[in-house]
Amino acid sequence: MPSNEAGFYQLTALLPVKTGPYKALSGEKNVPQYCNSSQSYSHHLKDYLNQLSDSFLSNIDSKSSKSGDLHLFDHTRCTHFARFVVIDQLFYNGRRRHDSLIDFFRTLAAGKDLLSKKDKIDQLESPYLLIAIDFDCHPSSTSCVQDYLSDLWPYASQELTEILHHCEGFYLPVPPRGKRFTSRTADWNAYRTVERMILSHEVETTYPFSAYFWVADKVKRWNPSTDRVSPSEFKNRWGLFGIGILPFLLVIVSLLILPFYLGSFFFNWLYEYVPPGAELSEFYQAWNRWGIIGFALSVISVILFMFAWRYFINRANQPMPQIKGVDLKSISKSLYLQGEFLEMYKRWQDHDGFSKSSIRQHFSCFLDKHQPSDIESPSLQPGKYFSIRKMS
Amino acid sequence: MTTIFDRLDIQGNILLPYGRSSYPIARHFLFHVRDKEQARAFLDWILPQITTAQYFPSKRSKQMQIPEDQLRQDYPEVLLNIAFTASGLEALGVPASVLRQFPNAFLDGMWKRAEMLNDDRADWNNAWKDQSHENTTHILITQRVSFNSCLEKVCESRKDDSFKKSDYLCQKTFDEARSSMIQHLDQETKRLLDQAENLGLVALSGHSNVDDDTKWLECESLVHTRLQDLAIAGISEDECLEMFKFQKDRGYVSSDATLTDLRYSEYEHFGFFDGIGDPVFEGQYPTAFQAEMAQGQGHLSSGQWRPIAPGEFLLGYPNEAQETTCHPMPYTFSRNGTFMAVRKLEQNVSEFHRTLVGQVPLMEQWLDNFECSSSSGQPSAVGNINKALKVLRAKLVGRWDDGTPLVHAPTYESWLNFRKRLLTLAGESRKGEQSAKDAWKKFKTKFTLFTFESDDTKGIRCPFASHIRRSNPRDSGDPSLRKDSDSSEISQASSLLVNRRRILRRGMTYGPAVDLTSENSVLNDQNSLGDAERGTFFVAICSDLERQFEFMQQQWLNYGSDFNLGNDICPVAGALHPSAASDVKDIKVMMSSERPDGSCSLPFVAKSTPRPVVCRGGAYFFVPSLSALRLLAQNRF
Repeated sequence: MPSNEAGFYQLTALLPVKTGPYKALSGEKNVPQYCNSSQSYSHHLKDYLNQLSDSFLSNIDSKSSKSGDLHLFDHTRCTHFARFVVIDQLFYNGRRRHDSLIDFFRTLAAGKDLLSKKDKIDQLESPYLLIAIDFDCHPSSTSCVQDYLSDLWPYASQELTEILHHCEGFYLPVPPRGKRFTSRTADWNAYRTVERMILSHEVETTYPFSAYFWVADKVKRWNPSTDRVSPSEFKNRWGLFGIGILPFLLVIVSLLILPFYLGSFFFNWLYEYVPPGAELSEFYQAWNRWGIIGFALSVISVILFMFAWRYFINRANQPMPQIKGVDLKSISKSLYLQGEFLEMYKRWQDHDGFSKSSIRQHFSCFLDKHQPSDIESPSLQPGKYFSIRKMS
Repeated sequence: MTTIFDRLDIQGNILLPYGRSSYPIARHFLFHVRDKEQARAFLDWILPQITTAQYFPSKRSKQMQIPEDQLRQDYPEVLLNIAFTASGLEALGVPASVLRQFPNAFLDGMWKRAEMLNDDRADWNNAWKDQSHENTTHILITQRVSFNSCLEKVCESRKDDSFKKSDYLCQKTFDEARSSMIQHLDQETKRLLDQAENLGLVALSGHSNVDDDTKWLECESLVHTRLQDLAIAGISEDECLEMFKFQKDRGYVSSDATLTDLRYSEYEHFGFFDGIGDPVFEGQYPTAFQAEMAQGQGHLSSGQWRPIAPGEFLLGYPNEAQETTCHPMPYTFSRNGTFMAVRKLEQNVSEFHRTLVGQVPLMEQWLDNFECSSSSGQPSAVGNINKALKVLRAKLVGRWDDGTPLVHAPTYESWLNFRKRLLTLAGESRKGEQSAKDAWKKFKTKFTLFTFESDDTKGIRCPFASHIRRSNPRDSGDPSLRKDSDSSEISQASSLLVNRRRILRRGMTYGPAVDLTSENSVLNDQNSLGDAERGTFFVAICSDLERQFEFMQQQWLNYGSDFNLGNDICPVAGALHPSAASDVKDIKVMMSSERPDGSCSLPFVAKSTPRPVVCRGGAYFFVPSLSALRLLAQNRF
């Protein structure tokens, strides 16, 4: 799966935003003050998102969170990157380049003015909400998004519901007349809706926003003057043959055989009109035989090609293996350990003057205090996203 | 195609630095423009006096085989250079349509972008602050006068002293020549200030290190005695004398030389030899000379060094991406001009020194126990202390005090050997034999010709946190390398990441020197010299301030992620963000070392002060070509 690569999941979803004036989510208890009945959904959504981002910026350097603050994304410590963006309209990309000579003949034929031909301009019918979240996920998992959302849900249920409420297609089940859902059921309904919305609007992504490949992957540069080996040389030659060259050869072979087939087809058609009793020439019989073989070969090669193609696509869709130590928890832990280890070493060096007897003690204190094998804690604290909800 | 510059159109200091011993004093004036008509008249007056990049007739120009017709007729007595801030160009009446084409960093100015560079605006001198419209900096004029001509006159009048350029001089001759130079400079300064006043330019004050009323910042190269230069390796006085005697016997120095002879040096206040690794770019030197100069200072690919594209340092030429960097129209206005970032950096010399001296006992212990390379004789106790201090200093910077790169001489002993060989070769070449000269020239390239990835992959010789590895990582960080790259791949590493981040440094020191020869002097001298402000007037020339100067300062000096150092700043030139400055007590630098058998021994964690340098102000300037100056003076846009 391209969205799931090397231990990261790159969730990208594009959801159309409702048009018309904003209506508060039914059953919302405390309608925020900023709610303005004449606001459009997209404006209201932008206001709401801005408040979330302000909460992040004001807490980015704070040493400790105030008790009672509700974390949004950092509690699970697996979110590398999260963006909620409203896209109002596509940017005009300019005219497409055409061959003016061909254009001239076309307009001449159509009897139109050369300038009357207009390019089609792509436009969005409504604003879109872009959700882009990069998070840690094991490559073998098939339910990355569901798992992530359910982890996030207890902390960000209200925010996610509110955000997605602005999007087209969001509706919560209505309880039967005269009855009310229990809060548990309402929560479950909201979760199901959010999950459905995000999954059904997900866009396949092939490149992550966050890449922590701690050493850049090798880029083999090919210098024609010095290198003899071509850059396309695969380590696995049979693999190259299987997925690259064989389908290509098959296509060539079937294209070569196709004329025989067509020729035989033509002769068969002629045969229909041959007067009865006329002798069939040897030439025709030979053609006919070749035609049948050609037809069979073409069919086989097309089938083989389809298999090769599927194999190729399947291989390409397999996630790259997980890279060790690049999940957010390991990264923040290792940065934390690097700093603390240097600190411990310096303390030992300054106070005990390289005395070998005490290094063990210092190191065991270091192990006790900082727990290198426990990536959960203690560790660096990431920047904090807090909810803008008021604690009741 | 080789690039050939119109050297008569380019201002003097850009292509090659002025000799720090030939023009040892520079005065920097800041002017504010009141009336643009008058200011244009001033530009008209100053235009013929601006020094261009034409070659000066000198020993070096002979080496480079510059044809006679490209040389200046005379050796210039006075050097004048001029640069403008964005508001200065506006005040001179440059049309908005032209001004708007300049890049954002230049239009904003350094004051607005101080936060990004981790400068604390509260530390800035008032003259640099871009707050009130009354005294904004508009024009920077730098004035220098020749030392050699004054020296020649003094030698002629005394008759007993023969004139020799850039050599040590006896105290008396030196003082006389210096005072005559200052006298000459005072005259020139008066002439400039009078003319400026007549034509309505306000000379700003407050950027000087002396007092608030002086209208210029005076930068002077530091003076070193022969003894100081001999003792730079921290050897004892007896050894210096012995070495001096040896030099005399061999005839490397004249027989009447004494240890107290003086000369202008290229050292800065922390005591390091400065200005070695400047980039070399296409067209800077004559073609035949260029390839040789580019060794270690150009663009490295496939093991070959070639000069960097000229567009990295001058506007109107293709840069390393084969584009022009920025080209405000009219083309004549921007071509052959460039940008200049100027920063007055105060150096906390005594604090820096004290921090290092405090770590000397531990360092000694470390060297004794874990650095298993020392074996040569039994150095005295004094020698040992000095050795520890020198090693500490070298590891923070990446070069020994005299500029010898750690990559070539990783241990103190190897440095002493390197120095001995250097001095011997220098002495031999001074005698004039061609083979000796060639050997000397070849040996000198070692100062710049080295790589980190192939010579010191693990940072054992030159620590990752050291200043030179951070400010010019050379071939480190090449994306074609990774953990399991073999040695043949590593040796082919290229300077891909660095080519577009280079700057030309044209800085000078200001303020009185501190004697760092013994570790107690600073502590004792605190009342007299310790309090005076001293530092470096840092000048960086590049064609894109944001991509080159600002990137280097932010990403490499003020942040360590590219070198796997987290948030650590450069121990010599970095600055912490003002909000974080109070939390960080010291900057740590880890030094690894290797036993002779290749196994790792225990590292040493050194620390530097959290504020080795403090920015006292600065600005971004546009250094126009002579044609652009003419456009400005005559207002023909």
